[in-house]
Amino acid sequence: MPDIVLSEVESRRYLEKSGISMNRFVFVPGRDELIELTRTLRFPLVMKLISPKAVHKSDIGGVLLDIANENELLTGWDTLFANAAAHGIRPEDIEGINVQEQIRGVGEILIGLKRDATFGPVLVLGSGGILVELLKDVALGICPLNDNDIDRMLRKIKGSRLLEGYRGKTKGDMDALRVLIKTVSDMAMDMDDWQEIDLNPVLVGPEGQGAFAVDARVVIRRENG
Amino acid sequence: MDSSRIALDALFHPRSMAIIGASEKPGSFNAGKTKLLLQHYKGTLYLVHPKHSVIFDQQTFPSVLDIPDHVDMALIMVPAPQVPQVVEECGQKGIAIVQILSGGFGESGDEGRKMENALKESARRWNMRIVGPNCIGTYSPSEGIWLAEGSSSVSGNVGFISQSGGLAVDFVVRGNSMGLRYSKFVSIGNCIDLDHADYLEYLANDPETEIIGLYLESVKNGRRFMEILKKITPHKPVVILKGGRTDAGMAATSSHTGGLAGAYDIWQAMFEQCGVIEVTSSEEMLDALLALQLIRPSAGGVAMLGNGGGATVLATDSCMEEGLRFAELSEETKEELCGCSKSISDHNINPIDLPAMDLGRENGRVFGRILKLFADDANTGYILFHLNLISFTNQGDLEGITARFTEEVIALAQSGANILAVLRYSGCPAIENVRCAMAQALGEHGIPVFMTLDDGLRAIRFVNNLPQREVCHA
Repeated sequence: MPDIVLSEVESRRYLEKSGISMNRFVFVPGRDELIELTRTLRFPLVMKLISPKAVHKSDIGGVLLDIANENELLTGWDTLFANAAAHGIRPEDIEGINVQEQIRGVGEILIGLKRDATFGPVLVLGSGGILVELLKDVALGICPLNDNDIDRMLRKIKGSRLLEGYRGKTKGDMDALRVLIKTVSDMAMDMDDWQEIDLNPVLVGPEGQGAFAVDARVVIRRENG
Repeated sequence: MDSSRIALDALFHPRSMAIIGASEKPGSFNAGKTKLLLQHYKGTLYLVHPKHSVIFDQQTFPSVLDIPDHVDMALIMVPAPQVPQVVEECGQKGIAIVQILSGGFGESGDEGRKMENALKESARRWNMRIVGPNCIGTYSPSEGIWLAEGSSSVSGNVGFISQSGGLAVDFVVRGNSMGLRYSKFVSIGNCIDLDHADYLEYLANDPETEIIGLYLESVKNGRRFMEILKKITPHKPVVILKGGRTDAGMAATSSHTGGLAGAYDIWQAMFEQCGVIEVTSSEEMLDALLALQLIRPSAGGVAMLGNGGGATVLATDSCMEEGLRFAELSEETKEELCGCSKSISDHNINPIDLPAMDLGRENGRVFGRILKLFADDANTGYILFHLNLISFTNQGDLEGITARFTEEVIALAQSGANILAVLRYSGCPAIENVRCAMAQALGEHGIPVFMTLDDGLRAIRFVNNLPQREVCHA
């Protein structure tokens, strides 16, 4: 039996339990609840289409950024449904819209987990956003990771220099990133039902402003369930 | 843990050993093994065979149970279907550990796996440990336990664990011929009982072993293996050659991470995390072990002398690429070097390349003098000399001049110089004889010899990158 790929919303709920730092979000199943449910979130917001038919959301116009007010939320809802329809996704295939607080990061990074048959949980750091697979600027570590391991891995990826103030760029909150990596590594050891996890991207804010996973995918092992 | 330590003591230092499946049948593997151990093993050897009463003029017992005295270790070489019975008898006899060389078990299918389970069951019942099956034996020079013809009887400080039997022979014989000296060597086979982690832990605590090499394809308990590695590497360098590095089966995955972390990428991460020295060929393995055994780590730079301008330029590049640096020699040393040969001037000091004619001057004394000046300079950490012997053929007596060079280098090494040789391979048969003789003479005196300049510089890198050694309280 194949493993189960959780949706972004399900993945977030899974990760929340382990204290993984994520931007705040609300899942909205219907347009009539949109304003009410998102009242606690702070603008600007991001809207993401949630449908099993749309695995790569951004490819079909399923992600809207910079939503500044309630009006834009409502028109955003209609735009996402229209974009979906243009790609053959019917309204009944749409579970709802994920609305989340937009994070301004100085840079982004991928944090992933993979379960290796020999060594167990392996944590992957990668840079390059959507180019991560092309650039292969990655560092691996076998969990649990200690502070030295995390520093060594961060030194190894070139992309982390962009977060450390390369050529006058704003410095990222490296301490928050280290804490996040450590939390993911600890979670990897504590939970044994996952098979693979992507936190991609993790946005690293300016110093003192944290690091947050803004998208996530958790794959659950079927045989364990 | 303790039971494996006692058993492995009996494996490497048995006072008595039984060969079950001893043979004198010409050309057979079993006869070769029997003869090798009869010739070299220092303890008491018992031969076991169900039918023969005498093999190689020695009394033979029908079963281990017929041996009148205690037996520490048994070597089992009978066909697979007979192994379970024989192992059960070894248990009854009170033998601490058996090595099963026979193949035809887990590696050949379900039937074999069933037999393996029976063996494990026997071993557990009698509190006996198993090496193998499907392995080629051990090499323990201090006890005269030879792995193959061509093993050395001299002990050293390198312990080795090999998952391949064929490569085990290569590592022992080629290593010995390069001057590498082992403390203990074990071919581990299918690891149905003792596994990588057990052998590694044993070598970690073995006072004879200061350097550890491993050839492996897979490990059973990866996490325990890692924990042991982490504990060893601050005290003893560990070099690993992993077979099966390419990802034939990088399965389709549902995440980015899956595709970013190939199986060997994970092994490399493990090496880095545990402070393991990674090598990717058996040649590199032997070079690394030889370097770790014979070259001392030093804070100083490399001082290099040899013939060949282009070779020296390329070596300079390699030196930088390996993260090494040439020694900045003192003004006094430079002045004296200039006095050694009119071909040396301020701008070609270290690395120094001299034509063969100049190196050979005064019957090899110029060569020796330059190396001595290197050695006496406090900034020198490693001395590397390289020779392409083909250029010396014009000088006449090639054997004579190489013998002189050898004397100079041995004298220097005996006075404590940290020196290594690169005797460049030219492929010319007449020269090869001389080259091999020189390599052997140097090797016998503890001077490591490499085939190419790149190999020599890489060897220095292995030693130079070692972490500050912690004192070992074994």
